[in-house]
Amino acid sequence: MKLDRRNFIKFAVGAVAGIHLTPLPWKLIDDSAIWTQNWPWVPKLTRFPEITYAHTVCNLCPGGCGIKVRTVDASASVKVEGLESAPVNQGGVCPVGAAGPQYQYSLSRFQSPLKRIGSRGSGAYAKVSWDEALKAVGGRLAELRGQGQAHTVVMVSGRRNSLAKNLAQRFMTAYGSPNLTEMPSQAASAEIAEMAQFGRPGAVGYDLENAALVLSFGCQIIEGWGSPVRSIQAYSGWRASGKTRLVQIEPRASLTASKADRWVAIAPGAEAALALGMANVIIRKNLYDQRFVGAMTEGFEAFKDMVLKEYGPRDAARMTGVPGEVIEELALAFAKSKAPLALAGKGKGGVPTSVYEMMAVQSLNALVGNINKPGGVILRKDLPLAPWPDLELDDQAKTQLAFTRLDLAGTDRHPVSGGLVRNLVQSINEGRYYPVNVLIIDQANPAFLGVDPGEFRAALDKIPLVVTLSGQADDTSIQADLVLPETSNFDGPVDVINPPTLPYPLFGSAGPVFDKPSVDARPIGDIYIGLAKAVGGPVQAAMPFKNHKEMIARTAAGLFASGRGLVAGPEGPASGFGASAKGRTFGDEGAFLKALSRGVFWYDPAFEFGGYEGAFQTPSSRFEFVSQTLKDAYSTWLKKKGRGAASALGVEGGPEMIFMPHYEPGVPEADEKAFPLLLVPVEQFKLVTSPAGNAPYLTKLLEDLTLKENDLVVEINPQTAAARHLKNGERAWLATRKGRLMVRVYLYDGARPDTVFAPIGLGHIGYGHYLRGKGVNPMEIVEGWTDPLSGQALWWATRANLTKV
Amino acid sequence: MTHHDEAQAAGAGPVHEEHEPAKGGGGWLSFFAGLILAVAAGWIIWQPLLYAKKTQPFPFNHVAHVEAAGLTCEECHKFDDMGRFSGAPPVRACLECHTWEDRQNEDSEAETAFLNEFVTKDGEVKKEAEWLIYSKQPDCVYFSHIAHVKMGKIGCEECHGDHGKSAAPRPYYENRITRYSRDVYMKMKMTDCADCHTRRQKPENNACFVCHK
Repeated sequence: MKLDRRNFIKFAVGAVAGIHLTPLPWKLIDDSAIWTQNWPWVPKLTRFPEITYAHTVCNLCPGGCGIKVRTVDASASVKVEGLESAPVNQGGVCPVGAAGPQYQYSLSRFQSPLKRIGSRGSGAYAKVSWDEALKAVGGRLAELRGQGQAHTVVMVSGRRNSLAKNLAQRFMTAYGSPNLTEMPSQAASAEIAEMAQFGRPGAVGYDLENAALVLSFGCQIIEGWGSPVRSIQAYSGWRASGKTRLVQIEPRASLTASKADRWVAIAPGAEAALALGMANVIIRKNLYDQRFVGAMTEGFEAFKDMVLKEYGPRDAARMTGVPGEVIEELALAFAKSKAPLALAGKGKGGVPTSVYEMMAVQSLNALVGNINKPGGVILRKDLPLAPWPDLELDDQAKTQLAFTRLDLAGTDRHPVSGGLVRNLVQSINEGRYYPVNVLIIDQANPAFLGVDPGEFRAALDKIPLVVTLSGQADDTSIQADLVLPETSNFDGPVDVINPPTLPYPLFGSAGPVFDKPSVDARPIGDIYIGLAKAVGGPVQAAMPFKNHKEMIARTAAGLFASGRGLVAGPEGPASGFGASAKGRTFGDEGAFLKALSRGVFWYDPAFEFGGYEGAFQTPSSRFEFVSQTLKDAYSTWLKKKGRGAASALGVEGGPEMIFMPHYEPGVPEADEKAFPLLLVPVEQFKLVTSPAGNAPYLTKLLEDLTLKENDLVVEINPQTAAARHLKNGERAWLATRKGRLMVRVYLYDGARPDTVFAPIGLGHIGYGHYLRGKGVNPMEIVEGWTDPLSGQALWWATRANLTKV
Repeated sequence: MTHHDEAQAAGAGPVHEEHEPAKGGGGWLSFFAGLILAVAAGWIIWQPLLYAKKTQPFPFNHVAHVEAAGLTCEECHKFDDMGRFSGAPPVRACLECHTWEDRQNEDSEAETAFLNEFVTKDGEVKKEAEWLIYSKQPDCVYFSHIAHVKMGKIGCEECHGDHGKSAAPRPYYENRITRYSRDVYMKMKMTDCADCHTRRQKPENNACFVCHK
């Protein structure tokens, strides 16, 4: 046989035929497929993974839930569950908290301190070390201070309910800048109302669980209001016991309204008118708690006169769009209920509410005398944290703190306001008072939320150095020149103080879940202390703690010293509010702190119902229908403006109306022919508007009714749609005087006619590809007007139009 | 028309004697040569080429533990209180009986070698034994031991063979391409699991999501 080409081919053919008579071809195909599963970058499980549960506080919202984080080999978190022994949530968890691991490993998390190398917003950053970053910022701050320019350093902070907020304030004060501007929030506005009527800003809680009739003025109780999980559990309790009725007062049939016992469809923003219309009925028919009103309130006569005159049934019906008979029904039911409770505050806490509206609703509570009663408004006991050492200010600081704040908070016009971001932005853009040299962003996202995000972005152009302390690449932080990222609650210490609406004081704290942070970030306390060190001198001396952990431990020691309260523990579910539970006693502070680090929460649920000793801290020591506190605060303004004081504030009527709750229509007027509709932004549980942003899991949960492909979906009534020849799912231009956005429409019977309800939380330019560019941000075209008392921009409705594309 | 005829017609040189290639002659020989070599390769030769022989961390003697120490399978291959199966136990399980002092015991060289290599002087785990698992499945497979052992009442030896009677671990052959044990191909591929489900009248357990979550 010759070894020629022909024979070779025959050999080859034989081989091919032969190989098919063996298992080898199929085996190799199968093995090749398996080989592709083992490429080196495919993650593998460890051989003997150790599963542990770490207990900590979720800090994705101020709700204060305790969570268990399931970790593998103490280095990777895989799941978040509710902590059963946590007083606030008792084992429950909300979708945002459950997405914790996605925030931990988010692609939009800053991996280390960064320095900008491209243009602002380009996302081009270079890694720097912590020493370099702290030196860069601290050095510049020290330089400015030395030049007497400390007041040109501005901080915008959205931080609430944690010790880091106090530390930031201490830092700015010791440094010498008065310009710490807080982000607007419902809680901040509520504090003004609470101070005006109760003298107790931030101390008002609600005994939701035991109320018999809950009148919610737009509060999205099962959609994230208050402390979200607690509110939902309270609602579940109402349903389970069947003893509580929920009446939801809202312009659209939200989820909460749909699951309430009754939905009262009200014109947007008319909540105060409805509350006072009800007050009118209650007072006229003598159904108010005369004993309580007589003994524990002040200014009732003036209030009564005003309400009887201005909020009669016909007037109230006209203002609210709610029929007079319904107003009367609600009033009678409220007054006659065994445990009535009225709740104020639209949405879930991100929409600023008119202070007068909150005062009007609280007046209802005062009329029926439910304060400090089961199921009512609870004036919370104090949280006995250890006070920090007094701050000694040097002359530099004192001089520079005396400059007028750029946001005008604390001036005669805004004597009781917290931070006013809109004024700050205007001051910067108009070059008022003095320029800003450094802007520090502390857990805030003003480039996205709040009116005129475009104006804020323009203001950034006038600021030479923008520093962010955010852990996530949110819309504001991507414009920063320097990034000093803070840790998350998984890889840094965390604390929470008095979650909103809780009737009892609570403090939660935990150490990091992992020994090492997943990214090169530092706890926020360490960042402030590090900055103080870099600035040096009296600023450094003002920091009484070595680091964040020490700040928590030394402050929490006060809880031990008080001798009150309970430490949550593994022995079982938490004690309910009102119970006089006996907790463990601790031999010494060390044992207490150890138990606290294991149990995470200290709280004091014991409460004496019907007691008013020290409850009201107004000048009269009573609930004030007409607020003396406001009178004192506005005294300079009154002197300056005389009879015109009220109208100069935007309040109708005489000066006395400044100090009393009343209805203000608010919405800026515009050509009703061009803009016949009202645009009402709405919040959703699954749309996170805080700087944390939406985890992919939450975005995935959004239905076509909110986000369809990349289009934001707005709700309109079918009648409104028909008049514009708009069909379900069709594209439309949503226009206001400020601009227009492309949206899709969803025809919903539960939407008030002639109103467009637009979800807020989408339309980001930061955050990476899972969130960026999805939907649009209604805040770009929303118009704000000024709330007289808080000075905040209110934007719960804007004149708008919808036209087919 | 053959090539030869053409050549002849073209007047290309002397005519060769035509002969038909007989079966078993030149061409067919090549063919069969190829066929037989391929069959041999496909059935026999590839085995040592594809599989690498590896040794286990140490020659664990099951018989000694079962008979001499009277242990049952479950005493080392345990279920924890959450129902998770330990698989091949970690070294800390061995330390429940063996102590550092057992080195002095001259009965067993293997025990001394084990202690020297894997245990510290203080009786702690020095290093983990990286067992090569004969039945290791890919990460995409979810398998619940407790469902089969406790609920299905299947003995260990039915799927794993009777390790309990072995004095040393079987040689471990690793497929060089896939890095899985050859033993998986014998008895633990997906079809084997599915066949057993069918045999035991549980065809519903063959739905995709039961094992591929």
